[in-house]
Amino acid sequence: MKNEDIGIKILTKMLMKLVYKIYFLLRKTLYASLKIANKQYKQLRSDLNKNFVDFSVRLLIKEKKDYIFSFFIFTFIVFIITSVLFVSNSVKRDLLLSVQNDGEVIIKNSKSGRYTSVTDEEMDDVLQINGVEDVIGMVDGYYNFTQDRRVFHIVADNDLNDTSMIISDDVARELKSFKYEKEFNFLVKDKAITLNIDKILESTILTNNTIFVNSDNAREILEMDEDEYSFLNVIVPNKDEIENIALKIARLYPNLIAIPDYELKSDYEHLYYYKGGIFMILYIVSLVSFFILLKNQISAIYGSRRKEIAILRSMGFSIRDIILVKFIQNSLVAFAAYFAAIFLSYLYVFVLDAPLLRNIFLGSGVEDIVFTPVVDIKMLFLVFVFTVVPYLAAILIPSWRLAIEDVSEAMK
Amino acid sequence: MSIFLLDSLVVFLFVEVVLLLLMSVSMFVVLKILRYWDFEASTTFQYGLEKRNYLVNTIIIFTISVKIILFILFIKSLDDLSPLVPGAMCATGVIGVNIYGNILLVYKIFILFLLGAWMIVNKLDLMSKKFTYLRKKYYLFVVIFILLSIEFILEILYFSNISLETPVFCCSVIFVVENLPFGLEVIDIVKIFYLIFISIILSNYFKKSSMSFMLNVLFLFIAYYCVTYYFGTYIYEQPNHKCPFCMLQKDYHYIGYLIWSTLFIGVYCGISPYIVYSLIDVDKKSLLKYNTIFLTLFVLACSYFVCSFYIRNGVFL
Amino acid sequence: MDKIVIENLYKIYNEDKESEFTALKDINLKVASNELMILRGVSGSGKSTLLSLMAAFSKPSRGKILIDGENISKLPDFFASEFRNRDIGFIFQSFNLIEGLSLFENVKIPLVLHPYSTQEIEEKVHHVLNLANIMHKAEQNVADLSGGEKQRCAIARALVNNPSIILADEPTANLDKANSLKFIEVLEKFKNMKKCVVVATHDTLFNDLSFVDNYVNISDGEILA
Repeated sequence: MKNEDIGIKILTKMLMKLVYKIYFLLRKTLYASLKIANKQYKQLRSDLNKNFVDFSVRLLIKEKKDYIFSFFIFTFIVFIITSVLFVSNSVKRDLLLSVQNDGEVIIKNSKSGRYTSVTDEEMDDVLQINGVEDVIGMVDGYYNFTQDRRVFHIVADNDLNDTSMIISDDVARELKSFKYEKEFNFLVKDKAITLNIDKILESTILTNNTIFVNSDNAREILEMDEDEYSFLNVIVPNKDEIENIALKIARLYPNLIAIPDYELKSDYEHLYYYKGGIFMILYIVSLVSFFILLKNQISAIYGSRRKEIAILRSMGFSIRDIILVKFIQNSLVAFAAYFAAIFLSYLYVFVLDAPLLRNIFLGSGVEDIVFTPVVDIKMLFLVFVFTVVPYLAAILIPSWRLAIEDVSEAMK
Repeated sequence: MSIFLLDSLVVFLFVEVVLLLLMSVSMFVVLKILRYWDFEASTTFQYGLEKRNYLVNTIIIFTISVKIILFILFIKSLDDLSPLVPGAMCATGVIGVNIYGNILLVYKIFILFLLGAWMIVNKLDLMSKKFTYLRKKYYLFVVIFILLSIEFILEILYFSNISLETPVFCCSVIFVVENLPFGLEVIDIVKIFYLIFISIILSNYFKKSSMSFMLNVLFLFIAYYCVTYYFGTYIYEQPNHKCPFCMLQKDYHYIGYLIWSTLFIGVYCGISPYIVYSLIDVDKKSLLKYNTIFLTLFVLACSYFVCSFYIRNGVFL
Repeated sequence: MDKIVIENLYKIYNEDKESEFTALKDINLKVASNELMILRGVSGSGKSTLLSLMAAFSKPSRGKILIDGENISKLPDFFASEFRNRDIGFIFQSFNLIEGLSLFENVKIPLVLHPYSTQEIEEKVHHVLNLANIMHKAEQNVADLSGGEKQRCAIARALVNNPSIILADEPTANLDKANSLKFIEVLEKFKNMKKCVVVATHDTLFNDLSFVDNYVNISDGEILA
């Protein structure tokens, strides 16, 4: 309990420091631009000046209790949406990297509605088709690790020799917990295949849960014959030919399914746009409820602020000035929450690897995953427009209502 | 999968709806003001109307600022759509996907200019101690509101009619020399470009706002063609890459934003004096100075790429 | 020229309704530039309303208020506020200071709307704090001040922008006798600073003061001859 408390305190301190740093940076730029604007803008009096902004902030600090509630809820909302976007962008980027090669068609064999292996004969026939540059047979499958009731993804890599294997981070951890540190025994039918752990890879979305071995070993582990392949990688240099070739293959072997690369790529993109979009809509719903809360909150503090606003107005603040004060205050709260949320979200997704959220995105089988940090300015801009702009839009009318209060009435 | 589930689109349409809501609220207020406004009356009701005036002002200033951001977001959404629309390699292909695309783009720019003109009329109205331009200002507002509603409908039509199956043309097909107006050659257009630019500077120096207005409108069209067909090729350093959108991307250091924004702001400063004059008979010639400044920046930026290429390679493309 | 000219001023609340109430009826008044005027009347006689109208806090139902020849009663809010900030210093009965801010910060409020440098602001505020004799309490939270000290803060605030008109609404109502007398001394200072001052009060302490130029009696919204 104590450690958590301290942890939270430290985190809050760090957060406050960051918020202050960003605040001062923004302030500097604002004042610099105001100076330039004020020099040219010879008005009767120039209200949007450094003193005015400072004063608005001073009032904000005095009234901070009123804003704390909105601050935290808004931070939370921005946090959720940013985390979702961080995860989805990271996953998308990794997946798209894997489908980079143009002009590939993946061919799988199906039997009774399930995927089975492709034979040597089928591969040779596909190679004969006009327009096919090359066909690479891939050995790829899943090994059942009964000790933990878990499957490992086995991928053939012919750069490895007979006795080595390369495994991903999460697999290494799993094996270590079963005391397999330098080598591992694959138990297949009546024998055990022992391979040395040569190298450990970082688990990304692609290499997560994967063991690389050479194709002979892979075949043995996956109980495949020499003339069998899990699927074929067909290289078709001319993109326009892909449709024709798929048709030809279908005519030759009706049981073979051809999946061109653009379909794969498009499928991935569609999938992640879909998931992202759903979240957006859920988000809008929560945002609307937040704004209802916000409105209630503003009306609640309305009463106590009336006198203060009246005093300011009696000193010469116009209606526009009061609206400006409220706008500056709320902008500050919104910006602070925005930056705080992005910072927290970055920690959550790229340092803690987004517990809970990753299960929603990638299904429940994914226990060990590392998200590659992808920070896109465009995405941050999107989040800004999605969160800060509606927030500011929501405070416009309440600010105006507050500003037009009759001065003499409020002072009685 | 519905296209409306794309991230940028959801955000874009959501904020558009928020803005429309705010503007509808203003609309109610504006109608009331137009009906009952009487500056000479000393009733509490009239004073209430004056206070409502400030609400409309606030909402519109907010709307204009956000609309500019939304325009940028709109371009980004188009860019995001390009991998999903078969054949489109950047925003250009996506815009051409159905008839609403190009109309929408021009319409949006037009509305931005109109909103900008409203801001100037509003400022002048507030500076006058008797709200002299109030009626005209609000009639203009009603027009703007109707235009904004149409814009929203156009957006829905455009996005819902984007087919994710039918392939579209990309920029190399669309921006072909044959598509230039009057069958002119690229080099002629460039000469006209510089000519009009110099005329604008002269016209601003002599403070002729109606002349500036016409020259600026002309300049906008010529500049569009020039940037797409000539200056753009120097930015991409490829004689066949004629595209107005690609320069907005990271690969070119987002230089497109500088070029297009200086052009738009410049033209805005150039055409507003005359528009304001025709609306309320007040000539705000001070803006012409900014017209010169921004267009000079724009022309310098464009010319820089041509010159730097020539200096580095000794030839033109 | 007369600083303040009020012509046929009416203030009617809830006009054309059952609860119609006329706070001010046909007020005609003139105040010169360096004049100190005392508006005498009991509570509810309309003097506070008259003062708020003079400071452009609210707008009249009929009539005009001319300040330096300009009709301020129909000024749009932006100009009215600008006028108030530049030309009016108001001292309220209940002081109307912002709790939670220090004395210095309260006094500086009217200056915030101008692009003065920090130095200039400091100079101006210190100047008026010295005039009002509360320089030593500059950094204290206003909530911790006594009634008399709050009053002096209000005075400093009213003076900080060097306005030409000072309006005071029942300034001694919340003060004890000692502080009220101190306030009267301050009034004399105002007169010496060549300001136009109007004080609305029913405090008898203000009667028969030598430096007051004009006493005006107001009752039930009308000026008594």
